[in-house]
Amino acid sequence: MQKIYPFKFLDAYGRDDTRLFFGRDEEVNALYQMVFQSNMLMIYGASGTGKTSLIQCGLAGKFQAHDWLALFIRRGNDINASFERAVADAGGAASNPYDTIDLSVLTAGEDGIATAARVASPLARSLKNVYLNSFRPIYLIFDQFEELFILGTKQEQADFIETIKEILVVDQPVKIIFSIREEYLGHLGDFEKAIPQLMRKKLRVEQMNLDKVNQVIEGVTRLKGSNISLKKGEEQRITEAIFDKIKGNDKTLTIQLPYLQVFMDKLYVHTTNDETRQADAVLALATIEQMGDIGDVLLDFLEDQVKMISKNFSEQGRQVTTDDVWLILSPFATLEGTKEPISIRELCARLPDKNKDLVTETVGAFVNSRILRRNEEENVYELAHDTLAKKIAAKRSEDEIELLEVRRIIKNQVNQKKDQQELFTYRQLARIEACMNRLTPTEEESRLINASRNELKRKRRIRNMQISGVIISLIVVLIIITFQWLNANAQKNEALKQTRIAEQKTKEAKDEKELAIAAQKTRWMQPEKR
Amino acid sequence: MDATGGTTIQTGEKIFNIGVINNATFGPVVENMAFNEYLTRELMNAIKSYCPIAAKYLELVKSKPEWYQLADLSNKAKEIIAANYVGVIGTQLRKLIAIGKEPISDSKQQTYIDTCILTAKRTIQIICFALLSDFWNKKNEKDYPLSVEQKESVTRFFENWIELNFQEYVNLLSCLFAVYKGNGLQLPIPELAEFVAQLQEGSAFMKACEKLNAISETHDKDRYTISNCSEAEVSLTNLLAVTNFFSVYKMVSIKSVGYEEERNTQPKYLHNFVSLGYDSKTNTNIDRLNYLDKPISSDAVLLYKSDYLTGINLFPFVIDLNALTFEGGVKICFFSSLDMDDNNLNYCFLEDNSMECVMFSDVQRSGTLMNELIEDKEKRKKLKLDSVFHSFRGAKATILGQPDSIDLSALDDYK
Repeated sequence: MQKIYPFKFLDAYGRDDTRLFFGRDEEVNALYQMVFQSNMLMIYGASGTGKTSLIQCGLAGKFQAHDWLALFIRRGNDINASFERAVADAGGAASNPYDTIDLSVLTAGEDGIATAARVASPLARSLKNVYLNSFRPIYLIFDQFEELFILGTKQEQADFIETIKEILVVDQPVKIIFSIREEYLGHLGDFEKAIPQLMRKKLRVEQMNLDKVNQVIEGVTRLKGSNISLKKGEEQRITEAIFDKIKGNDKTLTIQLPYLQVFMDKLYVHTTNDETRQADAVLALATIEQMGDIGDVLLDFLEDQVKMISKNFSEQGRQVTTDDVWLILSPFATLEGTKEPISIRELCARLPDKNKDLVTETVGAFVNSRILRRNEEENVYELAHDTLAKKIAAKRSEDEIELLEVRRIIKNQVNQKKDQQELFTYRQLARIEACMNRLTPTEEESRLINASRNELKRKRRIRNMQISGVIISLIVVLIIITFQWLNANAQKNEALKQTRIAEQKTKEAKDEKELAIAAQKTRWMQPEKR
Repeated sequence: MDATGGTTIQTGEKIFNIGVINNATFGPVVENMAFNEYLTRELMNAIKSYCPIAAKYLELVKSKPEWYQLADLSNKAKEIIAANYVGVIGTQLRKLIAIGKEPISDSKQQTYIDTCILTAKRTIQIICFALLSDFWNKKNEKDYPLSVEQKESVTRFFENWIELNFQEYVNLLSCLFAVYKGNGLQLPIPELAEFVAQLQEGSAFMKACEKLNAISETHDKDRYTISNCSEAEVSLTNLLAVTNFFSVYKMVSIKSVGYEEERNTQPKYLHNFVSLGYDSKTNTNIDRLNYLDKPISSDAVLLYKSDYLTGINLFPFVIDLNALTFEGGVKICFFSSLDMDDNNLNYCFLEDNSMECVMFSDVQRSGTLMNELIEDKEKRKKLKLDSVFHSFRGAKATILGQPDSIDLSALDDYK
């Protein structure tokens, strides 16, 4: 009998992994009950709590095949386009279902008259086609829903809300499940206003406590055919030791699930030295103790892989430092430390000074080490898990962060609707210019940057002209004032002169008068001649 | 086969078409048909007299004699069948159709046969529950006697620790018809008056039941064959064809009943209900409201033809657990058996046939204020679930005409 290696590393569990899925019985049962209480469910929790596995393995496993038709939808480049594609791929795009006989009249009322209310929208028709192909209730699962708010535009979000409203009134049994990181719940305000039942039925997925870790380890070791077992007599202590190792010095009662997955894989390899993961492993306390202080399991794992990739290149005679490798990995994490799916082409565009072959080979190496995963449908690569994104984000330098922020500034504006697009401000342009040699903007981005530059120049010109104008005006005014002052002064002086002349004349006149009076007096005082 | 260049093999009276091997055609072939084709054709013909849209459909496709074998056409027919057969039967038919569309496998065969048997059983159960409910009402007004054998049969239903099997339900059905006939009572479903002839030995209904029972008695399910699938499908089809009147019946679950009375006006009742069956989804539209001047029994699960106010209340034999626990949506459960340890009631959730135990908590102890119970949501839920228990015991006591033989004081040990 072929042995089963029960750990999936950082990959999510699927419907076929039901027998490997342990530690989430409570959550699965709660979710299952909620499915019959509402047509819309919200599952949220911190990154790495296993929301995706809970749905596509735990919940899916509760249904028989004929009662479950799940369409998993990730945002991709646009959530609305991704949703349409998912429905079309599931058989929604029927060409002409009634090519010989027109049965559409059967959708009319029983009196045979079609009413406006009965004319189905394209979306309703598509979902109906999907349903009629299998007669299974449809479950639309919007996974990593936070990507709509991290990477999506306002218009995209608004369009998506309208789509959801339309889905809620179709005639077929359709249920909607959203899976979102809890730190993005605050972004759902507008959504909830438009669709009040959005948060009515929700489930929080918590981190793993000791009891759940115990369920996982017990489950995988008791699984029929499992190549993992525990040393007899040490079972409980082994679980506690694993839990304590991962917890480290943190004063917490829980651990992160991806850490458990990575650690168990590491423990297995440490026990068996078997990278193929075929050998039987008996986990023992002593082995766990040997592993020493593991610190941050994920970060260690990442750093180990980066070193190994760099070393492999060196052995081929190529000088590729660990910094180079980190730089190639960095674009797969957003500024906020979430996953960002990227194609090789886009990656090369973001790393203009890196050789394309080097980038491609490094990505391949990351895929082999299970850090990156390829999405065949979208032809993009993405991190195996969100928790890796956080670690990568934390390793960035200030320069890198600045570059990412600048890219974000550019992208945010470009993604606005044309009539709402704004040019970059002076400060934004200054930041953009500082990073220009490391950016490879698209045509539209370049257009917006150039337009902003031109606008800034124009504004400067106008400002300069305005300043000149003001200065000239001031000078003119000054001249006028001066002239007027001088004029006034001259007039004043003239007036003063005239006043003095007048005063002089007056004085002279007075003097003459006094002289005349004196002369008269003198004549009066002389005796009369007989 | 290569030598003969043939595309069919015949074993006994079954012809297997293997000319084109795909999931649709590699199946039991009676008249060269695959899964659900016979069912689709026969049921559409069976319901056309009750269902105008089915009649219209058949009129439209009459130029295509093999319409039931053309996926694009037959899917619409299947939709009509699943949508029109009453509530829970429609849901079972939807499952059966979905199973029929799956790729061929051993598990598909087993699931298909099990679902055929289950669908037939549910149909019989609905008739039995309707008769029991109606007889309970009638017996509340007048004491209609049961014969010894009838009492025994009905007692087995009320006091069994294991759910009655297929044949036992058929026997119960016959017994209940005999009760009605013996007491000269009018049947609650008028169409049953014509159906009663089907309870004679050798009828299409009884033959179908015998065949389905025989298949269900097969202990070694790994030995189910394609022929068994065909037999199950044909038998189920024949059974549903003679209960084709169910295509005009509907079911609703009453979630709550509100009361309003303005000054100097007549009181009004706000019925909050959900339609069951094919379109049973918790949609923004599906929780419906009716504002009427007549009350309705709260937590009722009603079987009706045109107006649910005059419908048959199947509670407590059929319950909506979500309504009883103040949740949205529906969770329809059929009575299964008593719990062996503590006489609580076991119900079977129709979606996955899992068991739900309705526990009697006797939350309404003597002296407990009703307000106290109503204010606490958890206690209110218990009160509701206790009502299932009380109703069940009440129905049993009335129908059998005897005090409850279950000693409730024994339950104190479990409180």
